[in-house]
Amino acid sequence: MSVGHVARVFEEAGLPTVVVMAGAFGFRAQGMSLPRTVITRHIGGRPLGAPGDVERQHLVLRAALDLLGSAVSNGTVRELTEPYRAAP
Amino acid sequence: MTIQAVDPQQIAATEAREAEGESFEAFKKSFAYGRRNDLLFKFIKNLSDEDAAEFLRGLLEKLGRTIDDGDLGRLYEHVYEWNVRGYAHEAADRWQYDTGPFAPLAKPLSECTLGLLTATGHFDARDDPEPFGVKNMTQAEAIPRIMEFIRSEPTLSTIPLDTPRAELRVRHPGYDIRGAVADPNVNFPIDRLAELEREGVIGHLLPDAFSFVGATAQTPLLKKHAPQWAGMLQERGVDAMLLVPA
Repeated sequence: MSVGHVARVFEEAGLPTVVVMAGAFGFRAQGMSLPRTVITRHIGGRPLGAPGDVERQHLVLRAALDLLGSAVSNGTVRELTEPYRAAP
Repeated sequence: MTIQAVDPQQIAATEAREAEGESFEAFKKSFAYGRRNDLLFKFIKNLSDEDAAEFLRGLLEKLGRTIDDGDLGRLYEHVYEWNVRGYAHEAADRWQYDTGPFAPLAKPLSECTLGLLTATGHFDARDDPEPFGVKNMTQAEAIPRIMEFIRSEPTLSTIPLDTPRAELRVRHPGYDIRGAVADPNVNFPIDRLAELEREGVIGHLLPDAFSFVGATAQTPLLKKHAPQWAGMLQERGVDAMLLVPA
C-alpha cells in the first residue's frame, strides 16, 4: 500500500505514475484507485520476473511504459498473463 | 504490501508453550516471523487450516511430479495461486478509495525524463540509511524488527544509476529478498530501464533512482514524505515515475 499512497500523492501533484505489482497485491489497484497499474502473474518480491529473465523484465517494463502514454483516466489496469518462469 | 501486526517475542513465547504438542495453527504462524520464518511463505498463516493443508498437499503432489519430469512451471503456478489467496483478506483493509487522481503524460515518453522509485528497500552500501541507528544491519537482523519499521517514518535512499553493482544492497523485513539479491531487476529495474533509454523508448532517465522500505508508517508517508518527494522530483525535471512495490 505504500507505493499506492506514493502514486496517489504524485498524481495529485501533477506527476504521472505507473505501478508494476505482482498479482498477490493486484487488489490494491482497484482498492486504492490507482491511476495506472500493470499486474503480473509473478511471485511476490519478483514483480518484473525471475532473476536473469531479461526478456520478461523487458516485456513487463514495455507494458508499463506503454500504459504511461496510453491511459486516459484513473483506474487503468493491464493484467499480464504470462506465468512466472525461471530465466530461460 | 501490508504487514500484519506481529510481535516476534509473543510468537516465540507461544511457540515455546506449544513446542511439545504443536498445533497446526502454531505451525502455520511459525512461517511468519516465527521459528520457521520464510517471508516467501508467510502467507500460510493467513489461510484457514483446511486451505493451508490443501496448499501443502498440492505443493508436495506437484513436487512429486516435477521430480519425474523437471517441469518447475506447475510449482511456480501453485505458489503464485496460493500467494494470491494468502493476501486476499487485505483487500478489505482501511486504505480504500473510491476515486483517485490522474495526471496525463504531457508529451511522448521518448521525449520524457523518467524516474524510478521503489518500496523494495534498496540502497547504496556507501550511503546506508542505518535503520534505528544500526550500522550494517543485515536482513536477518531487520526481520525481527518488522514492527519498529512499520511504526517508523520512511527514509528515502538515493541510488545513482552508475552505482557499482557490488555496492547495491537490499534489506527489507517484509518480503523475501532472495530474488532481488540475485538480480536487482526483479523489482528495481535499473539495468532494464537503461537499456530502454539506449533504445530511445525513454527520452532520459533521471540519473538517480530512489528506494525506501515499504513496511513503514503510512500516515507520515502520505501526509509528509510523499509530497516532499513529489516536489523534489518535479524540481529535478521528472516528467513521469515508474513505481514498484516489493
